[in-house]
Amino acid sequence: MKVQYQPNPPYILSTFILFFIIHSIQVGIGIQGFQRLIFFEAKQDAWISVVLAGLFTHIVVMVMIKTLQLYGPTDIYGLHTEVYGKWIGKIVNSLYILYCLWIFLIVLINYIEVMQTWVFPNVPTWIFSISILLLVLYGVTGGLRVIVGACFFSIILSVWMLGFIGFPLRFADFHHLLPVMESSIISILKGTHKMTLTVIGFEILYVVYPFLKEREKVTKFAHLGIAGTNLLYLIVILISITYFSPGQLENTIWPTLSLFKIVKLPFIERTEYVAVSYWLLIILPNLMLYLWAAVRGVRRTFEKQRKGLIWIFSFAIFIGSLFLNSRSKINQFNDLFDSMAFYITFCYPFILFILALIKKKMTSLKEK
Amino acid sequence: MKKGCFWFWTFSFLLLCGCAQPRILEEVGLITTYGLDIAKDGSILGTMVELMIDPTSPQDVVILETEAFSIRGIRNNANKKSSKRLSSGQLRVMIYGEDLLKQGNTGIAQTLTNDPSISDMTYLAMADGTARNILHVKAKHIPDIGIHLFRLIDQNTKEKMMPSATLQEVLHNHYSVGREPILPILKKEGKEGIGFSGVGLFKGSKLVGKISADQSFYLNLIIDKFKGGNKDIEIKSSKLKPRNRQLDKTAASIDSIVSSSDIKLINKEKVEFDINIKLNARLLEITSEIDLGNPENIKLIEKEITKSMTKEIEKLITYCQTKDSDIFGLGETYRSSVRHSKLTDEKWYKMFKEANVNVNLDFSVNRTGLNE
Repeated sequence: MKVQYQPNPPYILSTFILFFIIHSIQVGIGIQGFQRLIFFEAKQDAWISVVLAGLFTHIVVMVMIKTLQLYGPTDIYGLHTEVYGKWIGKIVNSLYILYCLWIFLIVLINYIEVMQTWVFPNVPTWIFSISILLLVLYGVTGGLRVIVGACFFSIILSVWMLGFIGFPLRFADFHHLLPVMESSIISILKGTHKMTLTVIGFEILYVVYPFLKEREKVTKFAHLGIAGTNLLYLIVILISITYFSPGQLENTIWPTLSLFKIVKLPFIERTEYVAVSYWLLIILPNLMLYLWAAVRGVRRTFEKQRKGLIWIFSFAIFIGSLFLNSRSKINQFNDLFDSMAFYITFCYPFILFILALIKKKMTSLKEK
Repeated sequence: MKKGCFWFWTFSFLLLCGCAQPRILEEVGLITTYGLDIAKDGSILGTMVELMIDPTSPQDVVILETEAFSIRGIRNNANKKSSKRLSSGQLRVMIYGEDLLKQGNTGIAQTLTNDPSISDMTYLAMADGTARNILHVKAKHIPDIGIHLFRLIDQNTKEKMMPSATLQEVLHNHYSVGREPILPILKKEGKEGIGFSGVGLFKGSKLVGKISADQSFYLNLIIDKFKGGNKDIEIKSSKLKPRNRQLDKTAASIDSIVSSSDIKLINKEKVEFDINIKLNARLLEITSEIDLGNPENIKLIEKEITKSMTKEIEKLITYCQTKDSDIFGLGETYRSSVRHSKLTDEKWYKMFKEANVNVNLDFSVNRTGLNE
């Protein structure tokens, strides 16, 4: 397999769309309930954890872009083959593909759980699972351009939700934020670690990179996308800390959705039902991008155009979603993923960068 | 053809989503109000106001009563008596009987938030006596007791006559260290009336005391902001001669009240607070023979009103201190201004009792209406 990849001109995307890709894939299932987990660790200083997590993300993305730039237009699958060689590269690529599918499953089951708790307690998992999977399949078979379109519209069409900030602000008590820095640095950092599941998603840059038109602008839009997400998370955590009292926040599983509970409009009484259902639009691009990244990984690694592959993946995820159907199982699965994802998305890019750098140096020495 | 076939199956499959339980308005009994009391055997006696959407029925409202050991149980038991499936998605008001709240630790409000169909903006209130009595009020001007209570509470809360006690606020105060929840008290007046009669004070989730509706104004002055509102203030002073010779006091009626308050911790070791309240209002009426055209007199009135308000507020605070109920959130202020205080409820109850609170009220009359 070739390390570099140059897509055909019709498949190339404008670079500014990277902002939408990164922002929409980061914001998804995590934002519904991340406040509580961080609050457990860092108490009223949770917002500092969120800021730190955001800064850390910027650093990781910087390293990711540096790595990708080493080998011209390539993606992570090409990088792996280059760095590890043909066979080990294939194994690592397969692991990465599994990782993408894993996130897919996490997002899917968490969303189904929210739907079942809030709106449809009696509808079985398989109906949700199949309906969402069919939608995702529809998008992914349309190719990257369709998926990116979904990212764009998912953001544009859900901006209205931000307008509801005013309702909880009415009840906000800013005393909850004081005294600042009462928690120790360790617990704040622990809170930052808990942000993993919420901020991940930006690693899709590893796969999308070769499709972008002007690569010198990638840095700008990638960082803009992340900054947008960080700002959103900061706003949400600040509102949650001031709106809920400490004990209340610790007892609420999905604080963000609970914030919608007090929104009352003249034409709609209970906005959270709309918000919960509408969330499908927010997670849809996540699901599409991950499935696409997995399928793309297979195509790049094994260089075969398996037509039924996407169906096999979807079926596997469907089966997986059937087994994960209770709060405790999902929690366990999330925790397991959380500990893995931290190393894969936050630590691994540094290792890959160093390895790629060494490899590059070695090859240039050989040529001399 | 193959593609068409695929989409045919896909979309016909999506129709299965109709398997979710439908909620047709005509087939659902909407519960608008819950009343909870203690039954004789210690279980919960629930009174529910069910709104029926049925054009043929002469009466829109049915009152159901059941006993059970849990709130959900009440609804489930009531379902057995109802021709329509009951659902609590339109719940507006919850009324607790006094005896139930005196028991404490019932955890009732907490269980409510577990149910996603109950809104956080549901009003909570307490009945003077039993909730059952209030919900059974029958009067010509009250066709629907549920909606009547909701409007009564809603209107008075927005006018700041009552302290706001939505589910969110009560739980918020319940779960925070150094702040206790409050509930407005509804009282059956005569045979046909229901009125706001005071505020119930809590320690944790236990009812420990009551203040009158008059005092609830001063409570609101500390914990809330006024933007409009009105109040009659009694002034006992030798300098103001009352018009009514039978009474030895003068009443001043103020409205368009604009107020803001600020609580500050000024001494950490010997816990001492400053409560600064700023208050502007229009003086509309004063039952005294006094010339309002004279600026000296206005100053005098301002001073007298300040004095009597300060006295009332101090009385209120002392009362709350004897009842261990920090409804002002002084503990919250303490926690947020003292680093590593590790404040717990138990610790705060002790400190609150001994806390010194200085009230600094700044009242000024904006204008006196049309006549001077």
